[in-house]
Amino acid sequence: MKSYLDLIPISAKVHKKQNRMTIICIVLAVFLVTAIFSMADMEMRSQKLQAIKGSGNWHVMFNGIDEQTAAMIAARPEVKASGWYTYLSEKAEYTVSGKSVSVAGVDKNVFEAMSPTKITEGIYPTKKNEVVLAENAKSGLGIKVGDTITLEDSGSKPVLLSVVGFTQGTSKLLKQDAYAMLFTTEGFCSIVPKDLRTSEYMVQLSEHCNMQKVIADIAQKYQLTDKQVLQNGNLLGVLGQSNNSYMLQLYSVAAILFIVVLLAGILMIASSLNSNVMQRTEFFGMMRCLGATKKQIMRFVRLEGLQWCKTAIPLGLGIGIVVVWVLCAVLRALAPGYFAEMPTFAISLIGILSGIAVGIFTVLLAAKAPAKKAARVSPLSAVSGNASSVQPVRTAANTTIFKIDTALGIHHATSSKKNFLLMVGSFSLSIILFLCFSATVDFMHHGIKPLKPWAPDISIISPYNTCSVPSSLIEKLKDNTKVKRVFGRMFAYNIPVKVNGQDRVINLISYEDYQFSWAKGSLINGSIDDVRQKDDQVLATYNFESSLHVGDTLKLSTGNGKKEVTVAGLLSYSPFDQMKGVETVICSEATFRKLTGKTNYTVVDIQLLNNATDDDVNAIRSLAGSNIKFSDCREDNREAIGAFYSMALFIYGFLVVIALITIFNIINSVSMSVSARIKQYGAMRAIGMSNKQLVKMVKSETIMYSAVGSIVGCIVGLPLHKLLFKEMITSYWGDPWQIPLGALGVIVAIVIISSIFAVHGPAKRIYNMSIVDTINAQ
Amino acid sequence: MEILKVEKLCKTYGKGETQVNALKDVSFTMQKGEFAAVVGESGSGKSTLLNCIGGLDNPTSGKVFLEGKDLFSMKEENRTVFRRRNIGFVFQSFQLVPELTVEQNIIFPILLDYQKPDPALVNEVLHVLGLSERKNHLPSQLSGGQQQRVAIGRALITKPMLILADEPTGNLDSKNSQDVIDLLVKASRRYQQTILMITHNLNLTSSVDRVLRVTDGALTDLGGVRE
Repeated sequence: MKSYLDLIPISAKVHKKQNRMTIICIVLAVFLVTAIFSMADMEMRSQKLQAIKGSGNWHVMFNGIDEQTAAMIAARPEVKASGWYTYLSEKAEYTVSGKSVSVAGVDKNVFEAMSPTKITEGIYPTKKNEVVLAENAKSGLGIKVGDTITLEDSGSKPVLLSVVGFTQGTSKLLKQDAYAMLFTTEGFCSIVPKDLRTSEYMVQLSEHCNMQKVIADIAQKYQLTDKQVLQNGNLLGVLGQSNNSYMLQLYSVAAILFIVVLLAGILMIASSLNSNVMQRTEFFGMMRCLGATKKQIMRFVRLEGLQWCKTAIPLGLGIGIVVVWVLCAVLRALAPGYFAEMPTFAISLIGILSGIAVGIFTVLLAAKAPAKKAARVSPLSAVSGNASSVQPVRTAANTTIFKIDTALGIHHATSSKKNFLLMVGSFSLSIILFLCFSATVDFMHHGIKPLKPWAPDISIISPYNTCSVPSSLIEKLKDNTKVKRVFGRMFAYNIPVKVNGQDRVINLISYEDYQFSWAKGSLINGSIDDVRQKDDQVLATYNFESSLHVGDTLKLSTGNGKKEVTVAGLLSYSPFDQMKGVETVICSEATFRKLTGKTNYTVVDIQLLNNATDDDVNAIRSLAGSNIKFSDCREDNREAIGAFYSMALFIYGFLVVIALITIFNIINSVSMSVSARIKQYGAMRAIGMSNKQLVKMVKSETIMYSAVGSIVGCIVGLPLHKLLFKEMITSYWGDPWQIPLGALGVIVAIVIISSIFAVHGPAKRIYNMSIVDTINAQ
Repeated sequence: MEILKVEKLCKTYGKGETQVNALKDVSFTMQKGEFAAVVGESGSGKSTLLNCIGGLDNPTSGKVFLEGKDLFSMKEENRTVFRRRNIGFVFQSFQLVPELTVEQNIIFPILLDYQKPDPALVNEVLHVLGLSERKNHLPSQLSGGQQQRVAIGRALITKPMLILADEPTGNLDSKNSQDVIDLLVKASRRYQQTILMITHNLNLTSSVDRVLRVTDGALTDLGGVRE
């Protein structure tokens, strides 16, 4: 031994068990912060990927500016990439093989830096007469790289173009069944007359600058109006650069969650360190007795804390990182096409740095108070035999109200105010944390719509919304082995009806079995089966202006004469847009045919099996013929699933991590508390305290922490949940706040059940220890 | 009347070369109201003997009977209840419950039995121990001698068959040591209390009825010494 500080590793060996529990506590705190911040970071990355896939990697677009202004903008140091994006104005229409095509011009560097799509085959055009097309044109037009196509418009003569490559198709294109063609800017301008062109200057800014300030500065400098400046709201929002008031509210929510997570980490470590140092008052008294100064004791405690960090921080970081890897892997497995770009072994610098910072600074800060206390230990306490391993008692336990074991348990919990506050703080913060994060679940359900069971992969639509899709098509589609479900709807729009003497207008829609069964979830009143099985029965859809009720009779005037139907059920929701003053009324196919005399469908929706390929889709397209609108919704569905999975995974991930940390923290805290009093328990056992009474005593102590922790957690957590809910949901969707009984029930149950079960481990340890060993325990 | 019967008590720690025979075939009996002292060098096995008699430690072999009841034939939970009703302990380091007052510490074994203490008996014990004025004090507010008196009160309150005192004066100065011994003698006489006390202070054995010596785990009965 060269210095008194060399005593630290020796002391660590002697107090292995106590130290292990403190280390576990630091590991849990570091893991909590690392995992939550890394998960938040990964979620932001995935949201950024989605935003870029949705609208492109540009931050702001300026229109109506000249070349000189564009050059000045491009020269700004904050501008990372910029360039022109030129497209057809609304009045122009170009076609290839009779099919409408969206035409635009953009230079290669701009395409590569800012386009939401990538080249999947071939190269980007370099010459005037070269183009790339979206992939759906490959099968739709039957072309390949190197082919020549003819671009036509109504006015000028056809232009021959060489196809040099293909890009990914966007969900919007596929859904609208349109083709997209990209030229170089020069190529586009050489073909499309100036009056049919619209040009916008796309700018990608450095992510480290204050984008709103830069945009405002550009707008002011070049006197641009608000209409001339278009921001990529989604991307700016994800990057934390939005000036949208709702996004600013979301940022403040994130800041609150950040602080709560940090506080939880800090309190966990502080409580553990306090308990650890307090248990060794006698030891520090002995050191003071042997001549250690107060400063030396404080240095000893601080250094000891840092020694724990050496093991605990890498462990906490490691577990946090692995959890994030697993979540990212799950995300890639759930939506492979969508999150393929998420790295397999993603490292979040923010998460790691936060974990390290919380570990080291909290240990140093938390060590300060116990270190001061340790330094204050009188040397006399070591020699007088008065040094207690637990904190000094100022008041006696109340044995008149409770039985002795319960009274002692409650007293153990409450006798030291500081320890009680720290324990209650760490228990309640788990509840606060859980409640705060549970508000984000509501946000997710409002903000991101999961794929509904009726979402089609492909829709075959009548071009003019009439009943023109042959009903025989459904039977043919049912025979296709790659089709999972096929269902049609017939629409009859704006039918005048008389209800209760009032004239109204309805849209009549037919359902078949699948759609009726999906509608059951939104039935408020009446019966769906009556509508399904009986003629002249209909379902109405609720809206707050609606005057339709179950039992109402509707007198319809259709092309098929005057008919009467009865409202047999009321739905809270239907998947159709509701026009003001027009009721949505749903009936069976038989009723529809009887009422309107129409037999064909307006829309036929198809759900495919997972193994369906593009060739299968093309086969369905050819089966449907050319007199229909063909909408491929697969990419759109994939995007919806991807967005939902990514958010759901991380938000539920947060909740699971918080719940696990709560359980481990409670188990560890109880174990530490028992260790601190193990000698005393030994004496009580010697005097005649039974094991059952011992468990009861520890249980009442733990329940005291968890009950008060739950109350404090509710008192602080509920208003915080309300605040976050208002910021995230009420302000945007208008939903009123309600007590989150489900989340509250789950976390309070976790806290109380963990507390009760946490007692059994240490109790078993005491049972298995002989009384003599317990009394002599260190 | 025979209260305690110890029969061929053996306690062995470790195995093979590290094996230590802490107690070797120890046998003796004690009569009601007898006050015996166990003396011996440090590490001779005195505390092990006391722990085994009190049921705090399990002997390797042998039996302990209290009023004819075999202590180690009972289940752990029953032995605990038997101990709190029939054996009182006085430890060298007092082992009081710091959260309880003097009075609560004294009645602690009764409270563990979920019984109501007899106020007259509690007051009498407090009076005998000279703690009436301090009955509402916490252990931390008492001197070492006073704390040990509380521990004696706790051992006496259930009027147990046997009181086991492990170096009760080990943490006390000579004045307080004598006071504690006087109290134990007084208890032995007043309540016909059987007491077995460990001490290494031979001066204190002058007040006891009988002295037992433990040497390397073997017990020798030195007979009565009290004048």
